[in-house]
Amino acid sequence: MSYESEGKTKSITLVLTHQCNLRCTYCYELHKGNERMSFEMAMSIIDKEMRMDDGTDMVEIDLFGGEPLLEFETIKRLVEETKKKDYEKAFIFFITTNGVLLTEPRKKWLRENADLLQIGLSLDGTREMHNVNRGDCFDKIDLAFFRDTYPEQSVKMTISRETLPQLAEGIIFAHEFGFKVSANLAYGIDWDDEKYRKMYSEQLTLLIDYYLAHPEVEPCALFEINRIKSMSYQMEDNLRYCGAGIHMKAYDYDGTFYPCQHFLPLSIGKEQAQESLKIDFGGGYSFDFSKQNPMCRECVIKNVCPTCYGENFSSTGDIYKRDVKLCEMHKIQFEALAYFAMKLFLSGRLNDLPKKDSAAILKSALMIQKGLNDSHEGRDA
Amino acid sequence: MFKIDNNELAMVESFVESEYVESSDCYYSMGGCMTCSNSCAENCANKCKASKEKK
Repeated sequence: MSYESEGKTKSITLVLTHQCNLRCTYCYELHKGNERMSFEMAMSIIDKEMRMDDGTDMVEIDLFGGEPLLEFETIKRLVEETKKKDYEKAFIFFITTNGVLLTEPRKKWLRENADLLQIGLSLDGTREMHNVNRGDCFDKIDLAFFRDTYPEQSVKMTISRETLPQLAEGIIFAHEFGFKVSANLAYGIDWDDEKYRKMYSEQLTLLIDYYLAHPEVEPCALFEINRIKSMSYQMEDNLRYCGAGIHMKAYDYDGTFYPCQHFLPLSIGKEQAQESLKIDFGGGYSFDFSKQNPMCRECVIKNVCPTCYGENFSSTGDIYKRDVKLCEMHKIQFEALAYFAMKLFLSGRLNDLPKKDSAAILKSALMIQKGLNDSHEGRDA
Repeated sequence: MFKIDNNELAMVESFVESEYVESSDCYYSMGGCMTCSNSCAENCANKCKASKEKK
């Protein structure tokens, strides 16, 4: 059985449980109950998706919650059963966890099955930051286990308004422990305040200084410079940011599937989740800019702005209309990213890239700087 | 806040002028969804394939 794919991948999410042992302050799952998915239901979904004649040859099976490790025995059975089958498609299981439910026997099994089941840890920064967001649970997590067992897996860091002042400290802490980091501002929160913009700019500056001084550290996802490369090509429309509604499906405990986990009843409530089943995602890979609000259509970073269809739908009722409370923060991030790309070039750290790629990144960086500079002048006028 | 000086800017612009090419094999930036707590299955191969089909 091969776990390498040259073709198309699809993602299926199985909500094993609505329950969670924590109450994170920013959690978007506002409608949690006691529902759980049976092993039989989960296995029937996996079997159906693995046998589907849909042009894919790889399936990522995301085991989701709530906190999925509350269903550890089901997880074990699913992995053991799936690996016995003779499927043509390759597969990999993935879980994101709060990390507080691991015992030594569980860790042993996870190590033995790390080639089939990857686990991402949600880690919100230093002990103080983590506990502010998630309750007093930092000391229950075996950080070294996650670092050593899943060395290529980033920790997932969510930044709240309370932890924003320590953003750089938290990311640097994770790096110095040996983690790669994927960090983002919590969604569904009103970030539209000058004090957050100022704070974010300061924190991103500290991070840039750190990354420039530590070339051995892979920058966190906020500074992934390749994400701006396509801007310079100025396509009329853009490729979608994610596969929600196309090759992503999120199965709830009863076997109903939704476009992604953000459209689940436990995220947006039963009524809105039912409405989401009627959405036409278009089927293709284009993002139709004509359907956005005018502010987005004119935005210099529209081609690269991260847009979550689920968050859009939850906050505006329309998958194309973005929740604008994060706009100014996104612009700050891209301005910082553009600056970082240019500093990397000036210090010779893009020399390993093909010149056409680094030129595209830098052209995009120049466009961002000019466009956002013009935007600031307009805002301040 | 995120500004390089004029000399540095000139170096960047000069490089772009000499090396930038309009087309590319890959029309999609890496990145993937940053909003949810789970790993999105989007991989670059899917998007690259889509962008080539679009061409």
